[in-house]
Amino acid sequence: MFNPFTRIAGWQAFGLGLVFVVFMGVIGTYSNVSFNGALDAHFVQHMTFISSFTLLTIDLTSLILVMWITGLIISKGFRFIDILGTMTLAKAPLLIIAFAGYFNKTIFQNTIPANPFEMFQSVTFIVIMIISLFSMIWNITLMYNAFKISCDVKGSKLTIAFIIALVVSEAVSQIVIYKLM
Amino acid sequence: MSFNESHQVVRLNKTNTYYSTQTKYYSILLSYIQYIHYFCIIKLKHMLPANCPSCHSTLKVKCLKCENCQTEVTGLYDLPALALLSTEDQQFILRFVINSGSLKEMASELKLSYPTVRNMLNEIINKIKKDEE
Repeated sequence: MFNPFTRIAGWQAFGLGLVFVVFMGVIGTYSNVSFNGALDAHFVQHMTFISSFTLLTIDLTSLILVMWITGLIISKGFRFIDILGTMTLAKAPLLIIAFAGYFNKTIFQNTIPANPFEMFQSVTFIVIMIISLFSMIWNITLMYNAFKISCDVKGSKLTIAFIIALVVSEAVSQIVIYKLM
Repeated sequence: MSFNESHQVVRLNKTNTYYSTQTKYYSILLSYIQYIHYFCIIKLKHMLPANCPSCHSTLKVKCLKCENCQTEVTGLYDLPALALLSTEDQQFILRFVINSGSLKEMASELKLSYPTVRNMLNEIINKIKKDEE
């Protein structure tokens, strides 16, 4: 559940991961969930197929490129396809957030700043929040294990490099989204 | 349950003609454990020890004997690098050679991903390098 990469990596993982990403894009469009960042998922009022898939492509590309460059700096002798495959498959838990968007009909992102306590009155929203949090933790754990197995790094070197790479990929994806969309 | 205790239970079952199905399964299970135990002892007997059981330091070879003419060679020789590795690592190297050094074939044989097998090999390389130092 948290480390499938001991069994699956490379092209196989990439193919399976792509299936999850396509489902995320389609379901996210209908459930109005925007994956606008390498670590972001927001409930919005309206989503289109083009914007949903563009955002997912930017997220995934920035994440994979930053992780690959970090891997090149701290490790040697690893394959790009392993980073590509495992990182794509690591996105799979976000499909749960895309599904969760279906149940989030009452409170949107735009209304929260006006009345912040409104969201705590909705049991559905709290449940969605807990599920989303779990999915995000699962996603990060999978990304951590994907990086660990693909680049063969251990200990504090792995933890520090992963945190930096994750923050940088989030920043890169936000900048690209801001410039392009 | 100790090894002797399990022997007693099996003997008891053999003398009693009427015993329950549960006891029957229990005796089969015990026989299986004894079988595993027997082979574990044999395996351990034939395994070349690499570390001292008392202080865990690396052992050296003191004596070599010819089974044919009983000639004995005494000295103080280093164990070969591969003998210092664990049984699992030795098995891995053996499988690696049999698979013509193909990590892809190793991965499909072990039902593991390519980077996992490559990481296992890297670990063995690091162990050998450490031993060489």
